[in-house]
Amino acid sequence: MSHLLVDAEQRRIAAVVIGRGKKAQLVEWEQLSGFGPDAVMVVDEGALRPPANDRERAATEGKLELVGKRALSEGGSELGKLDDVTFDTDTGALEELLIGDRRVQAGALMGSGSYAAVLDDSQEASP
Amino acid sequence: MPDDTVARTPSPTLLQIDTARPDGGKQTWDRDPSRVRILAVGVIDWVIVVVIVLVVASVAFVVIRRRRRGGRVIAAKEEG
Amino acid sequence: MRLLMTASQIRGLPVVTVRGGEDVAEVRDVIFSPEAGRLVGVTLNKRGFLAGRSRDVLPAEAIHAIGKNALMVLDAPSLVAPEDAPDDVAHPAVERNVIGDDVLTEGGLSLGKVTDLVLLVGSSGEVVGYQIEKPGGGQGYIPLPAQLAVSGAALVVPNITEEFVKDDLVGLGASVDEFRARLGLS
Repeated sequence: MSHLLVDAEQRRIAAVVIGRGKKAQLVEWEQLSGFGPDAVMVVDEGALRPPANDRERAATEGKLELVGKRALSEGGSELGKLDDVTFDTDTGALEELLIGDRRVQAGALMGSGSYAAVLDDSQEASP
Repeated sequence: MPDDTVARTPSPTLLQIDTARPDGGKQTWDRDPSRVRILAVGVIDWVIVVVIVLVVASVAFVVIRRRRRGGRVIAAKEEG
Repeated sequence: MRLLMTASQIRGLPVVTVRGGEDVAEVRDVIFSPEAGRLVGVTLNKRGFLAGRSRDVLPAEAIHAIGKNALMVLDAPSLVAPEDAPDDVAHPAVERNVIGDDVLTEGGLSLGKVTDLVLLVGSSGEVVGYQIEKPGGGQGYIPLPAQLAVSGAALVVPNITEEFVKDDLVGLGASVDEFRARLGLS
C-alpha cells in the first residue's frame, strides 16, 4: 500500500493506493475487508481498479498525501506541517491531525490537495 | 617517492595511443594528424554553441521574470 | 485573524483554494480604492518559476481571506475572467501606480514619497496607511483617513498626519484609531 486518498469533505479515507507509478491501482475503502499496520485485505482482486480521474491519478503519484502536507488556515496563515493523521480502522473516518505538538480534531479539515491541507479558523488562535 | 619498479607506459598523445593487446603486448595506434586537426576545430564550434545557448537562455529568463513581475499598487478610478 | 500587511507582502502570495488545497495562481498587482479606503482586487500571475501572467483576476468579493502566507479563495472558479470582472480590476490603470507619488499635507508640507501601501487584512482589505520614504531619507509609516483624495501625482493628507509619522508597522497599527478619532473631532 503506498498512499491514501482522503475525501476531505467527508473527512474519511476514500481509497487506498496499491503499487506505484503507472501500474498503481486504487481500492475503495468499502472494498477492504481488513486494515492493519503492514497490509490491507481486499474483498477480492476485482476490487482493484486503475485511477479514474485527475485527482485519483494525483493520489497515485503521492501528491495528495496528507502526511507531510503543509497545513494552512482558512485565513491564509501557515500552521505547520501535518505530521500524522489518525483514523478509525473500521470506518475509515479521520480522527485527529497532528501538527507539530498540536492535536487537532479532523473536523477542522476543510479541504486538501497538492499544495496544502486547509483547516478552519478555529486553529488560528496562537497558543 | 615510490620507487619506479613498475614500467610506465608513455602517456597517450593526440597522435599516438598505446593500448594493451589480449596477448599482453602493447599496440600503438598512430592517429591521422589531419583528422586530429578537424576534431579540434569541431570542439571550438561546440563551445561557441553552448555559450550562445547560455546567453539566450539567460536573456529569456530575465525577460520572462520581468514580464511577469508586475507588482504595482494601483489606485482605482472612481466608478461612474 | 486581522493583521497589518503591506502590498508588497501581499504580492507574490500563492492563491490557494480552501476546498481543493491547490495553489492556483499568484498575486501580481494590488488594486485599491483611495476613496473607499479598501482593496478592490488583485491581478494574477500563473504559479511556477517561469510561468507568465494569468488572464484571470480576483475582485475583492471573490477573496475569501488574506493571510501571512496565502490569499485564500473558496475554489478555482473564484478566479474571474477579465470580461466578468469590474473594469478597475480587469484593466488596472497602470498610470495610477501610487508607488513614488508625493505625499503632501493640506498645508503643503511634503511628508515624503509613497513606497508601499499598508492594509488591514482578514476577510476584507482595509487601507490603513502608507509606507513612505521621508524627505531626509529613512522609512516611515503614516496612517490614512478612511477616505482619501488622489489628485495628479500627489496624495493629499490631513495636516495632523505630520504628527503621526511612525517608524514601524506596529507603531502605525497602534496609532490608526487615535488618528481617525482626532480627524473626527477636528
